[in-house]
Amino acid sequence: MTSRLQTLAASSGGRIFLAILCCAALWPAYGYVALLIFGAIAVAATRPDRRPEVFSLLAILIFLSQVIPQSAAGGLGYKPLLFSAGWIAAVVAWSRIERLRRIGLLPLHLFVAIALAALAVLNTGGIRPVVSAMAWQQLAMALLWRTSYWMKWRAKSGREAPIVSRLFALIPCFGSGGVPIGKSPEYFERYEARKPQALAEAHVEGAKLLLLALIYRLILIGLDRTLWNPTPDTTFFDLQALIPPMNELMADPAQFAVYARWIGLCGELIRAILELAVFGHTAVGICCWMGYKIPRNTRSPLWSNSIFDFWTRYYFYFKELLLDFFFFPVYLKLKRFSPVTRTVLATFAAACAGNFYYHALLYASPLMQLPGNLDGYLQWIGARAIYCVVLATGLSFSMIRTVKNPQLQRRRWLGIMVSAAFFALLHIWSYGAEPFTIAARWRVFASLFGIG
Amino acid sequence: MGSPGREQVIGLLRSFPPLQAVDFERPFEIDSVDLLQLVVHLEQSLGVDLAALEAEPDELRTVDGILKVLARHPTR
Repeated sequence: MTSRLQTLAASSGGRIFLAILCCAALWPAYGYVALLIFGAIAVAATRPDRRPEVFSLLAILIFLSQVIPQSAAGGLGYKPLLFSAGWIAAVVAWSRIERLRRIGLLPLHLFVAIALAALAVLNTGGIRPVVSAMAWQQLAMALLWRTSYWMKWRAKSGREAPIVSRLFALIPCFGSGGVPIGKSPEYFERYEARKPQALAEAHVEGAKLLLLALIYRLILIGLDRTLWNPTPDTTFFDLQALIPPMNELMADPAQFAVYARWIGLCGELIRAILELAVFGHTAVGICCWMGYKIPRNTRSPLWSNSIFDFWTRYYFYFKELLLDFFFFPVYLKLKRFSPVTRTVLATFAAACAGNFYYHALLYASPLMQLPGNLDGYLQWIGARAIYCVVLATGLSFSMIRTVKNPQLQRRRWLGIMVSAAFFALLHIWSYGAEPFTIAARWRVFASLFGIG
Repeated sequence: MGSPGREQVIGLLRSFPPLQAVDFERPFEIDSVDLLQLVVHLEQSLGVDLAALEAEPDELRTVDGILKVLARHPTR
């Protein structure tokens, strides 16, 4: 089947057919922007030598199509565009001027953390409007990790490295939370399809991912209408009593039977996986169509044979971010320790400290709302701290087990059960936002075992 | 002593069990646990300090990347 599709994608007519199919698959998410993507695909396919420039232009157009309506809705006018343009211009200047390149990642992160704290303090005094402070925080988060990858890449690339044509790796055109899908320009280049056969493979992968994203989106809509937000017209019997939505479970677990609480928790895990797969498959699918066959972001996490395997398959590029910026530097520095000690310390540096740092910045929005919602922020970030410690502990055990017994094969069904149960339980501490207190999360956890 | 050549690095990678059947002309897919073992393998076989060479995980996933890392070592 795959080889037939590749034969189809290798012909001009087949490629056009698949591209139209993908454009239709993108329409529910992107609307008219799907036509721009189709145009970019067509140009990139006919001018492979101009692929990076076309992709950069497409990234700018997608970004504008997202920011302009949001700015207009928030009454912010052109300010977010100026902010983003200023940031990107500063990164380009840093990339070109050798003296500026002495500024490393640490000053950048310190600057962003201090700026967010200052924004929160100013907002407490009512100096900045809430919507504006939140917009700055979200834009800074969307750009921060892309810039970090960019700086890492530029610090090691030669003087002749192209800058402007690689902007597609810097512009936040996909997703939220600022996790860069595709990492750095060097990473994209590594997966660039340079031969016709490789390009056909990339296009088939892109078509598969975009169609899967559409199917998952339709499943999510169906589940939302029948299960999570039903109306009398969209549900035929009381499914919510059997599979409770997570927000109701968090609000009052006692209204559901114990078995239903577990089903609700597992349902929430499936919903989270589907949402992540829709976002990741769409982003990676577009990259594949632009000629970069980068790895998938989500790859059948429910088919994992261990906790570590699940984490790798669930959100690949977030795992890579923690690996690149936290795990690996610590692991390499601990050369004099045994492999097990190195692994545990580096896992805690990444999955606990790095993960917490990432979310401490990402979750700063409550500080920008309701003048100084410090308690809300502490509740949210406190829950994430518990999540990080438990995750790092689970990953450490799982990794040690693999490091010590590389040939060990666990029965797959047992691995699936253990990893799914672990992440379903863990999700209690990452679900929702600040309205759910740490005490409420503990209450849900205890209720799963019939306590309280 | 100069940096090892391409063939020497490929030979070294071939002696690492998870990479025995890999096509080294492409970026090789290696999971994170195997990558950690590869780090130890390279450190022990070549006697290099990968931290001092500022090695990145992605660099260790290609032969060219490994050669680039080793070339950063001025006094190997």
